[in-house]
Amino acid sequence: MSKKYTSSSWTDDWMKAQRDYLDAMSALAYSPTRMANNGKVDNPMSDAMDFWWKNVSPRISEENREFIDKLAEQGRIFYALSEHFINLLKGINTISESSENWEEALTRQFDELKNFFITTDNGQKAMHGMLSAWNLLPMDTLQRTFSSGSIMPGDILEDLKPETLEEVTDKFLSIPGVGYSRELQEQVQIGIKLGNNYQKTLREYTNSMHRVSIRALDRMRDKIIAMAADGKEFNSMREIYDLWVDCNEEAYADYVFTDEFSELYGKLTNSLMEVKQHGRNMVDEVLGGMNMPTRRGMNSVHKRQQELRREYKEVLKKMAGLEEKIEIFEKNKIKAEPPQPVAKKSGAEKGKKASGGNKKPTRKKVSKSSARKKTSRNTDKIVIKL
Amino acid sequence: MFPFHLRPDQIVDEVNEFNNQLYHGINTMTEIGDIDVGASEKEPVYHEDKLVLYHFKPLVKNPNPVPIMIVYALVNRPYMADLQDGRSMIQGLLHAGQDIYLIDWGYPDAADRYLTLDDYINGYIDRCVDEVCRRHNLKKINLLGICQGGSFSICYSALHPDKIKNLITTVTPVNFHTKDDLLSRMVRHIDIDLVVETLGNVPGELLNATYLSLKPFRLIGQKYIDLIKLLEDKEQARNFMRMEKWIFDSPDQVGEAFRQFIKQFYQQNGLVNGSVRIGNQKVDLKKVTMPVLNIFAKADHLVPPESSRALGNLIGTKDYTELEFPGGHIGIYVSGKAQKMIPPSVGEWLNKR
Repeated sequence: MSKKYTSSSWTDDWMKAQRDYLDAMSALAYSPTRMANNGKVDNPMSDAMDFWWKNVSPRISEENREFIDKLAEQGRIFYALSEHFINLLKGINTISESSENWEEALTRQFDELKNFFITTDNGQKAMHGMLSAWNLLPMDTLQRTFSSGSIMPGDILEDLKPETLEEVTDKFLSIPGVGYSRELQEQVQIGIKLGNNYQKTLREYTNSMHRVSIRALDRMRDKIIAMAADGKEFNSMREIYDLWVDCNEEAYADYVFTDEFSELYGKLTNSLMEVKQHGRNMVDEVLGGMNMPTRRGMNSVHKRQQELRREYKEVLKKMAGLEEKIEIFEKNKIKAEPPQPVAKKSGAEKGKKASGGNKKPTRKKVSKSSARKKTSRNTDKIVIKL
Repeated sequence: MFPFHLRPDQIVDEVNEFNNQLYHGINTMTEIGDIDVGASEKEPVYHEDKLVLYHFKPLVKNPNPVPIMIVYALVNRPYMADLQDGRSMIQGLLHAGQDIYLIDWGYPDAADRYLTLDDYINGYIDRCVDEVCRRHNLKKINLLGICQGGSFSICYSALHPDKIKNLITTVTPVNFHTKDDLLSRMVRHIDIDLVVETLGNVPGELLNATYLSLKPFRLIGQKYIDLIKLLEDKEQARNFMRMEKWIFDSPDQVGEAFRQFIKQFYQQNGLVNGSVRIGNQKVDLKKVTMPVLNIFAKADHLVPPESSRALGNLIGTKDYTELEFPGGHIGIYVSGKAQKMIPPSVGEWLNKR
């Protein structure tokens, strides 16, 4: 049973966060742009959100925490976007006061925004935060899923960071193993090669997704210009956010429906599976050496068990069919029993009956062939009835 | 014309408003309590392994003497068809005078890893059909498939046409290679043998992430921004959470069945090419000769309408009807519009046959 958080203290935290947030917001709104500060980005609203969430989350029930975390994450993204667009708008406003050519100014602002995202660490970090979709990339989730299901403590992939892998050259990995642990050396080398391959593919994938995000910004700029030409206006941040979502979805759809994406996604999944399978096989080797159950062994057991169950169900089905047939046969047999023979009545007997006397039935002999005929006829009738 | 008319103080106000809504929303979330699902009274009538066959209590005095058995997908849980009062396809069908059975596949675990499509279709589904036939003393029943369960139902009807009186498919993929099928593109180059050999059963969480990645900015971001407004109202919050519970309530996928389904249906497009084999039998769609009602959703991002509509040209029946629902893959079961449209149409179609 989950505990519900009822204390008023988290409301206090919230109020404090609100104050911090409003201060930060006002400071942002009335101060010069803070984005381009040696690549350092300030996100006061997001920071306020983070501060509040860190205080509140431990006291929210386990059941609701994950969901509320999602909400809070989206709140942070909305704030982050607001901050970026406040800066963007301030830039545009400044220029629009002195020049009529706001389209040029808009393009320049978007170029700066793209440049910020592409060239600075903080920009990339901000982009990653804004595009929290990528935080839930299937492959990241896949990786977490594997971690949670791994027999090994922690995640085998954790040690295969690109920065360490890049130091390991192909030349080093091609040195043949020697000595007592030759096989183990070989297995480790193969594992590193596979891990290296996965990380390279993952980088390729992440870069392609970054390109999608940049294309989304281009698309957004074009749409803003087109909307202005149609006399449409933006009257709230939410409208800008919705446009940003639309542009990202469109840019994403443009890419994911290409053969390039399909192949890259397949390559990424396959490379991760190879790493994981190799890791699992190594774990199996260790477990086998300790005479403990291995995945391979369990698979054999499950496979045989399933085959047995399949056969068992097939046998049950056949038995049920046979029982049904036997039942029908028994019914038919009863119905096919030759009728009680009635002896020809003599004149004296007829007289007896007429006078109400008792009769003693006598069995009439029936030839085998005649009995068979009758049975057959009766059976046909019943089958038709059924 | 310069399109931005936002002053910094307006933005501050708007974000502040958002902040307040978020605060109230989170407050609501701590108060709404447990989320219940299921609207209609039902009883289990058959168990096998993790499978349970449910019978729903009829809501009319003399329901259709030929019951409908609903075959749900292996992905997600079947309570979506009976989510809550007023948002339940099953409730609608019961009101439309139908007698309803539903297969709940349960949550498979490692011991189920070697179940095949043959085990599901010629095994579980067939035995459930037999059980319903036995209970009603019938030789044929009506079959209604949902999504992947629809693909299974088509295969079953082709393999056992003598047991199915009418077939109803809802948002069912048939042509897996339509140009707007992103799921299909995502699995096209995946080595499924390697995936299944590595993972055994395929984690439900992985499937969830895959579905989210079809429209990541809407499903991971915008949806929750929209939600923040709804959260002021507890009932709306509960409704949202019911859907959220269902979306992320994903059983793992049995390894062998997953391998066969992805390979034969998604990668080889076997229903269209006529290459699907279930066990030792080839699925010949020309043997689907019973009346067929094919319901699809116009704005379905998981199963494109074109994919479902392919069925019409592949099956042998002369009595084929299509019904287009103006909504999405989930809305077809839970939206208010769907409640007014889908169950009465199904009831009417069945009553004519």
